[in-house]
Amino acid sequence: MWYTMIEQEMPSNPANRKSMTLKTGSFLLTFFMMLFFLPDMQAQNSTSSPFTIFGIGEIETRDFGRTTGMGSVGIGFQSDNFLNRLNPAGLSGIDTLRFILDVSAAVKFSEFRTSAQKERTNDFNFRDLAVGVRLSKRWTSSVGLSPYSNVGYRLSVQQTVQGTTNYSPVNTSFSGSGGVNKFYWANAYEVFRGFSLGVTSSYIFGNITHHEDLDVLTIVDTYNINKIYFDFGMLYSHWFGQYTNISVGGVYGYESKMSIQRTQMITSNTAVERNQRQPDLKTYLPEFYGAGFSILRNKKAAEWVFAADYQYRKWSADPSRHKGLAYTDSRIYRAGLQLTPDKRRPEKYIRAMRFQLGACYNQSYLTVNGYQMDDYSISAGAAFPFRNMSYVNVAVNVGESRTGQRGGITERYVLLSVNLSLIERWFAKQQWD
Amino acid sequence: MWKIACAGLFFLGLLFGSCKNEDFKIGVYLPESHAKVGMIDTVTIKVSNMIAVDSVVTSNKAIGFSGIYTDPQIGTVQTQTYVEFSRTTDSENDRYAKFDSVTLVLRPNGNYYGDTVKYASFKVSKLINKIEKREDGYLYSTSRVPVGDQLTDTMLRIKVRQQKNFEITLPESFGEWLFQGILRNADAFTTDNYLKTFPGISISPGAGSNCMHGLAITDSTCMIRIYYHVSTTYKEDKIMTFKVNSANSFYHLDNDRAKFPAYNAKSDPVPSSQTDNKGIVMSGTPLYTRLEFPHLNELLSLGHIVKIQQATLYVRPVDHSYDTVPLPPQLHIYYFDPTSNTPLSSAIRPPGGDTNTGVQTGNLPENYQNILRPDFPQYTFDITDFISTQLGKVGYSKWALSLIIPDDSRETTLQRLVFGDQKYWYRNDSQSMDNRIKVEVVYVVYND
Repeated sequence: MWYTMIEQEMPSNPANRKSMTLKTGSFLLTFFMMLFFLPDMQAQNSTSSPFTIFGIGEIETRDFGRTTGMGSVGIGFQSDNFLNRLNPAGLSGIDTLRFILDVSAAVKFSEFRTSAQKERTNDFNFRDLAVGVRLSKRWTSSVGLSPYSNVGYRLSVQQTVQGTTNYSPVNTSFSGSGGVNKFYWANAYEVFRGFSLGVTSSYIFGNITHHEDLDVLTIVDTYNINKIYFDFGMLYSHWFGQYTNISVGGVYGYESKMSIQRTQMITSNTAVERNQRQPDLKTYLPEFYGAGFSILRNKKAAEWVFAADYQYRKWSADPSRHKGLAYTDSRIYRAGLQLTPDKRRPEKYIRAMRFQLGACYNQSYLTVNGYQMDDYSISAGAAFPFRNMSYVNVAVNVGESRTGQRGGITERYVLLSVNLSLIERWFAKQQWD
Repeated sequence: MWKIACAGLFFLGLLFGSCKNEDFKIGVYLPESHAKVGMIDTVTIKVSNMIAVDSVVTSNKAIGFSGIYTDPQIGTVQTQTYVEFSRTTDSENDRYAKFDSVTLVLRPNGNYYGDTVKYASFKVSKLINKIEKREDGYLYSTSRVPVGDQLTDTMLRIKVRQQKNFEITLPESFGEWLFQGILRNADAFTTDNYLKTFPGISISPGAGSNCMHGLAITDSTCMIRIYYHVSTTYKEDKIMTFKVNSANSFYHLDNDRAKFPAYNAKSDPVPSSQTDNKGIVMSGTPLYTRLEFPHLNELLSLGHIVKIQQATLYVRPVDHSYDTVPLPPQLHIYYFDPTSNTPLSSAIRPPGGDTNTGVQTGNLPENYQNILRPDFPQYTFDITDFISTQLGKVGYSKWALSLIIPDDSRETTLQRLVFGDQKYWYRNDSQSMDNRIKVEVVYVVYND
């Protein structure tokens, strides 16, 4: 039986306890190594959208962990093995004695279309890395690294020669890469039974590079972002009887000025023409707030969860520096459903799995030529348990990003994500016969 | 299993990686370029005409020229060819052989200058002295040999395009003298004394000549033929041939450049303002043109950073200037070093990187003389590297360009290019082609 085999791995004698210590050490070693290398591993682009030429790129609105198959809901959702990235207060759901390590990767297959053209791309990247642990009866903490935004475009533009029609257009290649990452430390404090407050302290950092290449001139603008930021969350969870739980949550982040360092290097085919720091760009991290809820229902051994979120980000305070582009307030709507057929240890492996469905609608912060971009997707996922408590979460998102303009650019995509959620038992007191 | 899952994550990465088309076309309207691309065709070009060298080597080139032509663009050009003949190798033992006639065989080599529809006049004279090379082993277009008795002055119509041998009849007295000397092996005609007795001939334009022909000076195309016969039981006609010694044959060229007196100071450049706003490139003399770009640095005022994407020089012959004088099929372009006053300091290579060798030749369309559908005659040069490197230069670090006919053509052909400088159009109020020299510069400019 599958869980019996797993049980055999559980520590039951001093030899296994030693093994346990080694595994915990290897967990932490893995985490810190990945934390060190993840920014480099993320050097590959996570997107190919030409719209990432604007602003700080494509804002990452998905959680690539436990709830990806549920439309990435989370503001009003907590679970005993869920490192909640959307609402720090949601960390309170983590069981005592547990240590969780999450690592995620995703591959995105995109097809960009206009009325006349079609292009296909695929992008692979590591996404999230986080660890979380309940440090005391009321205090749960998590540390992680996740993407905040992604830039990745490559455009070949034929620039006409002004003043004549006798010359062929000059090819100009535009490309952008990089993105903004968030290294965070999230803490939840359970004020009283079922009610938690949370705060996430983030170090937002990253480099975004825009290249403009002509035959004789290359212009490279590098934007360096460093920002300390705090956002807050609350969550209240209540059991109605033995079988039904309802949780509601809210998140808030304040508007914060952000100064982006800009360095420009211009090289010709013979020399470096300029390599100097430019005046900082003054911009904002937007104020945001969100609310969500989840309903959990136990029916015999099965567990049903339905959760939904709304999130609002006030980007319009930031003036655009591009012609035809405006920053507008973004809104995200998410909803998801999860079924665990048997929360006990069933005979059949498939009944111990989790199955998820979800949907997400996202109004982008970019309005191009008067049309606000949006994105909608549906998702499905499954979690494969192993080693008693750990899971591999696999999810697929199918969606479309649109400009809203007739004949404008549409991106249809399939996003396949894999999350490894390693869960260890810590602080367990061993008892011996 | 978690190890398998980790391996799965990496496998995903290896399997899919990131892949996108380098030439992504969707969304090309989104970027705002920092750099603007423009074209300007009003860069000032200062044209000066210069004499490249006093003379060119004309000996042992297997060619000659004979004629005179008053070039409306330049002045009078006159040439004459000096030819040495080897002692005949034909032997005749019959001391009673009878001389009949003597001719000079010549052949046009296709080069011409002036109105060749008219009759050409050839004056043939005996040389007094043996043709002697200079110490350096060459004879030049300025070299001369004293000329003695005139043998003939003949008017002929030459079909230059057919390039067939033709014969000029020489006086019988000359032929009899030469024939008898060889036949009797007179002391004056022995191998040692032959060239002292008969050093050769000169072929020069005769009275009324108003055109010039190139001549092929080779064994089979330039010779003296003595027609004679012997009588035994029947009359047998025979030919004694004196073949040319092309190693010691050369041509002389005079160009008075009367049209432009400023040329008299040979070392000084003559601004095109003193040559009717024309640049003149010519073989034989030879003349070449210097092109300067005195205000090139004004391009730098177009923006904070200005780079040259492409620069093309167009040189356009003046209308009808090539009706009777051919354009050089190839025109070479060189850097002109002002510090050493070296017109041919280094060649401007064809575009395509350092691997390309040779000199640009201007790509003159072949069909420019086609009557029905002529191509627009112009020479085109890619001078991108030159303009790029000159941008920002001042003083002696500013270089110029020179246009010149290639070495081999310069010595063996008569070709000429007359092109308009940038003021030519206005001075002549031409209603036909724009014959002005022009450089088109495609630039990339960056402004903050």
